[in-house]
Amino acid sequence: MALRNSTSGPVKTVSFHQNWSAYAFLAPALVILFLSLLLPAAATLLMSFTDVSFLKPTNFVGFDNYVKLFNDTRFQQAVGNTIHYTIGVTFPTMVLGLLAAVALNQKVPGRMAFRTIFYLPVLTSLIAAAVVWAYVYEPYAGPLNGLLTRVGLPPQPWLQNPGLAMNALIIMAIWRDFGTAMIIYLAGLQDIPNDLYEAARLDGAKGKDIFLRITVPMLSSVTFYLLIILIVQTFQVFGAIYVMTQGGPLGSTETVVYQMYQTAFGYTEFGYGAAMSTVLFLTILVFSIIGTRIMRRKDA
Amino acid sequence: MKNDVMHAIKPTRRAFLSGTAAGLASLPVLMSASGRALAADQQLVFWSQLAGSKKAAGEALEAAFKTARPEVALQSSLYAEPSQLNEKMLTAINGNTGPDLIVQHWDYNLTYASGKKLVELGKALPNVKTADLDPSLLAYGRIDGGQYSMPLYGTSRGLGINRKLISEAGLNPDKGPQNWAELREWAKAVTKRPGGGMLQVSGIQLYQNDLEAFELFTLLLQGAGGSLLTADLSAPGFAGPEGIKALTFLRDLVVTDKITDAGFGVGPGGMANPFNQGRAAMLVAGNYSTNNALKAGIEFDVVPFPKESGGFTSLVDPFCFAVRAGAPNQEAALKFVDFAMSPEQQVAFAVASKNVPTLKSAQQNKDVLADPYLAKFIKTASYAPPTAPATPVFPRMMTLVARGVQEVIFQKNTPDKALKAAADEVQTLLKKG
Amino acid sequence: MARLELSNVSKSYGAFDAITDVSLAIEDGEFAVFVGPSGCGKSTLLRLIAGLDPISDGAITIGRDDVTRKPAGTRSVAMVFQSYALYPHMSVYDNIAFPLQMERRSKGDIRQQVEKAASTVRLSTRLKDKPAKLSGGQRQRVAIARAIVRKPKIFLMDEPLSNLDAALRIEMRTELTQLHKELGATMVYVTHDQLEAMTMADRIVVLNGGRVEQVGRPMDLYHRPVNRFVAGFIGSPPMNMLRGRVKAIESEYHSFDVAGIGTIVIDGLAERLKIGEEVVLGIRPEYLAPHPAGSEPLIKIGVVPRSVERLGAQTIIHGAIEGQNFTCVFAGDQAVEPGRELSVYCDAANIHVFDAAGTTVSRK
Repeated sequence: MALRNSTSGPVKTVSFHQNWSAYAFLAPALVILFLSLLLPAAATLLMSFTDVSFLKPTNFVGFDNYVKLFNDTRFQQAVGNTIHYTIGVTFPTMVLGLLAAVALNQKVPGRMAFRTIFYLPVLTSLIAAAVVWAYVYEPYAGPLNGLLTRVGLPPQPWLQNPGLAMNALIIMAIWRDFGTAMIIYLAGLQDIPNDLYEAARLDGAKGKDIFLRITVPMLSSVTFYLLIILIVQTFQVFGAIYVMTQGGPLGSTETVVYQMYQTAFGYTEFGYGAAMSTVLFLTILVFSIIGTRIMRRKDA
Repeated sequence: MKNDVMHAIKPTRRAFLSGTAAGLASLPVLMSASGRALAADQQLVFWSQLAGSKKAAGEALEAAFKTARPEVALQSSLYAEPSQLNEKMLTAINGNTGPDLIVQHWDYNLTYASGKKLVELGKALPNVKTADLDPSLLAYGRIDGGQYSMPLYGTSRGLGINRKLISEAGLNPDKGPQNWAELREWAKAVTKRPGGGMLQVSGIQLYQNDLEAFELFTLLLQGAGGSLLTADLSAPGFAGPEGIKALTFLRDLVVTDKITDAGFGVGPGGMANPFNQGRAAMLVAGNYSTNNALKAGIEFDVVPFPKESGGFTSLVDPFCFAVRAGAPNQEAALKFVDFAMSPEQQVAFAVASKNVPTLKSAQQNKDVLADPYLAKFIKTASYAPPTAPATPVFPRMMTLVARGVQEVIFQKNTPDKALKAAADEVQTLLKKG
Repeated sequence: MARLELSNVSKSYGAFDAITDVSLAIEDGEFAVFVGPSGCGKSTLLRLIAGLDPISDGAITIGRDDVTRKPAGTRSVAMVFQSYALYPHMSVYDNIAFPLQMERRSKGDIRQQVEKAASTVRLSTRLKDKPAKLSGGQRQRVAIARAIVRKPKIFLMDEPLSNLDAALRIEMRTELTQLHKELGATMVYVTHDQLEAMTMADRIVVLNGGRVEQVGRPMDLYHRPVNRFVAGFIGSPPMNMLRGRVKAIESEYHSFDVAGIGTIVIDGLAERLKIGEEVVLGIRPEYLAPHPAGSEPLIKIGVVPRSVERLGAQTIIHGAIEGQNFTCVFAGDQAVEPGRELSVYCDAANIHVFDAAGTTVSRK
């Protein structure tokens, strides 16, 4: 009876009373969600209004942390660095991923091998990859400068120069992420009906026209999806910076999450760190909402 | 039939709700139970960061303790990364659970001590006499007038040199530079920059990371007669004329003399650093530098770091024990510290780890001095001032000073402005306490 | 507008021969329909003409151009796909304009052409909409407009009506025929539906197994199929096929022994069969009548109706003779009861005779 009620009744009148069995089955997941996600998120929000250090008595400080945050030039630098990183990683990753996907969607020999090779970096452990790249960028014995010297270019202090270090991290992130973009774009390409390409060919469209007028617009939802996940992901960059530069040189690679970690665990200013975390959370939330809205509008 | 089955597997609402409630209620119980299990009654829970080059020495110390004090059940965990132990410790302190005893780099301990989360050790160790211990090392464990953190050992800083490169430049590696002018001459003489272009060999590998940049500045600051903080540790002292002189000297080495490139050597370090590849003739060395340099085949040696106009300076950097306030087995923890500070164990640990022992008598032990490099680092340790920047704002101050130093080296700022800015921030932090 | 000529065209995919040695000419302004069961190669042939797939052997000429090696898009053909293949991200206007944009025409010119094509297919009010907002029939018309706007020499249509519901299909059939008249264009239309072929085509090309079985005007195929396959494929319900054997030949007369019926005598065959030769006799259901009527010689066949469909204008009887389906279509409403044997009559002149190989035995 309960089941029949819950499926056949008009949606508006469905109550907990009628749906209790649905909630019952959802309960374990809800409990885990509450404990692992909502509770810590709420705790972080609460902490951001205090000066909690876990060492000294905690005081409620109102919006002090937020006021401090918006006047903190170092935080502003971290926000700038994060935006630099996000833009630097997101767009090249998507362009390269798209080009690789289009190339490997053709029936070219060895395409499966190339797909695997391009995707492999995604599967490597971030820390291991960061250690290897730290070696690649090593200014004197590293292979990258070795290559530059061999082709007659001056070697670069990749991770040692404040003007270069962020770009070096960006290059590594592109190497690591574009395989994901490629796989997602490949899936998107498979969804484009072959008829459209044939119709376009008959309509006199050539390679470039087909790519720009058919392939790219047909992939627009995939592109939006990728854009959002890459923005959200790059906003949270931490591991590579922790291993490779520790935010240096001269704070040029100090991103919001790295600074947050330093502030909370390095300087035991958990309240201030929580405020940074909350600002980051809200920013990411806004992007996610914009993303979902756009996707929903496109689907409609 | 279908209905019967549905009915049979359908839990009653009451059974479900009470089940969920019971599950939720039992969670905190389970959590606290597991916490209690970790700190089981008679066990001495010890979190140690004696990893890497100190690992064998740490294991030997624990083994010796188990033999000597069989009544104490020692349960130790090793944390390879300093940050990892610190993060766990902050969580543990917050939950009033976790270890009885820890040993790690001194600075984190001061943070905990400032919140009164550690046991004052000054009078708690009957067999340890403060007068027998190295005052420089001891200073790093003292805060608010109490000895909250007990140094097991320290490293000290000297000028590490590549004897081969020094000799090739016609300098005497046995003597070492005696003042800044000579240091500068040495650095210029050993720098190789063919045609004034690409750096082939750097005169001095200045620093690998923020901490080393900070230490280099500290050595120069002391060399110019200054100190990081005022004697009562209540105000910054690094932005005065001595600090400006020190940082100007450093800037001139890089910008005018071009003995290295800005940012040269920054990186993960270890075997891969330029000094170990023969691409730098000198560096600020600590005990930890020896093994990698020798393994890399460098003709490594250590001389004392010169002051501006003669004489030497140094700094020490201890690893310290701390006992958690409110820990169930403080007594056993104190036994362990007491044991580790005994003459036999101080000697054994120093020999095994090649680090400077805290006990003065151990520093003069012939087995300890038998290692030529350890003997040299014990010698350089004697040049360290008997003071320390022992304040919980140290991690912050270190980052701020290192940032200022690097701004000057990268010519983004002048020495006076960079130091002033850092000092202002440090002053604010010190006032807040 | 142009003539299309295929000379010895073949297409193989590996070991599989999809099209074998097809030669045919479609005249300027003609509406040709390729028809056949699925897998007969009709769509493949269309794709070869469009240039979407290269041919393995032979030549294709459009007008005076040998387009055999020309890529799609340069052959001056337009194609309407079964799926319509509209660009879903473009408005109706842009869909229609796309081929012209590819020709880099001026904006004004494009606007004029698009509006003209849109009014031809009665879509002038929907130009700003995306295809997803249109009904099936409207999408179909967009696809047609996109073809029209190019002013191609040849229109190719691949089962364009198969995604529409029955009523709309009939409407569109008329519209397409009308459009063909208006444009005077050469059209090649592919369908598996013989009814579409019969109603729309100037000429039908019946394909089977990658080969052309017969080319001809609809009524030629209906009345004079060259073989059993064409006879069975054209006409609905399909022709009744009765197995028989040549029993005797006397001057003009062949008499056949037909299982379940008895002897049937037919005169006027153009060739002499052999005594004992196996044949199949074909009788169209609509040539059977419930009463003897018209001229001699009449053949009487007894059949037991299994089911009867009384449609008012017609009465369709489904029965069987010797295990073979046997269908009759009577004009008007006939009160026939299922299960009760019925005699039906047919003029011997309307019986098709196929020899053992399935080839039609022609009449004088």
